[in-house]
Amino acid sequence: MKSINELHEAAMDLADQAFIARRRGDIDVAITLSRKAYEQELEAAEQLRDDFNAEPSRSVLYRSAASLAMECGETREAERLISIALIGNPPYEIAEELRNLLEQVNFERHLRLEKVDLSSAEFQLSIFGSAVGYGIARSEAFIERIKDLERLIYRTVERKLGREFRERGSTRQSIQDSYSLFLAAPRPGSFAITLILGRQMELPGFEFDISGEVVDEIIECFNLLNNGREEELKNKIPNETYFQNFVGLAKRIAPDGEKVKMVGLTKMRNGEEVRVAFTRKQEQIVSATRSKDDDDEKKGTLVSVQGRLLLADAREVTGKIQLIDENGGKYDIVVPEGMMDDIVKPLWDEVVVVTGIKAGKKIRLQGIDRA
Amino acid sequence: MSSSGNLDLSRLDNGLPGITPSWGGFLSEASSTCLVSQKHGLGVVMDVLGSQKAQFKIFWKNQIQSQTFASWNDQQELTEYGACGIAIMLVLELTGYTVIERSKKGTGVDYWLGYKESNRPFENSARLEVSGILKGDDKDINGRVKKKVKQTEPSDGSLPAIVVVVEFSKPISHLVQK
Repeated sequence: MKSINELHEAAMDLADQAFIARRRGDIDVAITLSRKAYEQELEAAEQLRDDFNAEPSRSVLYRSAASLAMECGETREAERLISIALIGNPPYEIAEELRNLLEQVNFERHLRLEKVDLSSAEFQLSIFGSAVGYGIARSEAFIERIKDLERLIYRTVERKLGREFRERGSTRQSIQDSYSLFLAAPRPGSFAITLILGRQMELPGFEFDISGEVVDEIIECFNLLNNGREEELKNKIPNETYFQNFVGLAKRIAPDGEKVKMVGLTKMRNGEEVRVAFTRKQEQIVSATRSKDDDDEKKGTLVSVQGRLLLADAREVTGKIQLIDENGGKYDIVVPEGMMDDIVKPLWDEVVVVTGIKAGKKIRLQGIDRA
Repeated sequence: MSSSGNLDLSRLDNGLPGITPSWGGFLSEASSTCLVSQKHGLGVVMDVLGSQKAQFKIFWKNQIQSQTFASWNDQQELTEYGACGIAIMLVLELTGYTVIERSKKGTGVDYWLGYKESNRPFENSARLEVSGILKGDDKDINGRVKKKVKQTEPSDGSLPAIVVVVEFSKPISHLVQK
């Protein structure tokens, strides 16, 4: 029988290889290696199952095995291992980390479509965090995300229909009529709701329906962004303006880390559930919007400024805004294409924090959030 | 007591008791990429503040090219792993500890410090708590140090820890031993 140290060491070597394979994009290899790592770590942990005095070894090994089980999609197994660890005497910090991991496991459970049947044009949105209780959520945490998701749906429809990026003005009425977003009654768990994208009536001259394709595209793009696979996301959305717009809206929908810790999307395809647990925080998505202006970035410096958004000029494709801080100081911000209408405009007259590259007197916007 | 010397990141490429050479190489590439992204060259001087005062010249052997930056398209991830590489090197130079174990923590990894391997993993070990800032001012750095130290404040049954906050633009590090 192998010793605990040998098993744990082998598990960590395999976990390293899995991580490196995942970064290379070899997802199948990564999953196989993660599973092997999980089996070795579990065997190590199980040797200390009844030794409640073997801390922190016992709880750390079970936490490590549970994390690997999560990577393999074995959520029930992860839940069981976390519970075994918590039954013992884990040190305070490890107990807290085990509880955080359990929250993730629970969220995975809430992503499942319990007794809900979804058509190809429907998907489920779930949110979880301190702003969410059992079947209840703070309105701003939920409603703002729904509004952003609706903007993102219209943009995706326009992109899939081969339309040029619309810098201003509302979505064409025919698209609004055909791809309106409908909400079904919310369900408890985390806070989960079915979103129905679709045509409510047959319109003359509107011959095909791409609702299912739009749902697939949105969930796939969220999955890529969540896994830090921006290059693949760019391949999927080659138009730079649409890409910037998608990342900007997805960042607003993403978890803030506290009030909303996780955002989940679930759809049904060929009788199987497809789930994305979006855990990447808003602050981690800033870098994704840097793709276009590498030269500017090299010349400038990354800055962060705060002020009320009071002036905006959208006469040119590249817009301009101005923030006024509490001392009357002014900051001129250049807004890249694809950002003004959906990302900046909803924050009008709000106190915001802008992150961007300062070159000369102007700042080129990378991210904007409510202060 | 203050000390000075060289911090050779390529030492990580050989691995440590709790880190394989491939993982060590991954961390050293992340650290050197962070420094190069902030326009630093070989021999850049890093001040270390906190429980230990020191100054190190940092060296690396990796060739950081445009493909290297492209492979690190997630700045947050790059900064986290880059800070881990520097933190481990500072621990080796300043505390006498080495990394003897690591474990999976959610989607991340945590490192355990000690002098030698025990019968059971993580026994008699201290945890390494690392935080990285690619480009920040003193306020950002001090805020991050306070937050990290608070997270590891001693409580009943808590574990010993070393906290390291690394900022890459100056560059500067804070090392606090709990």
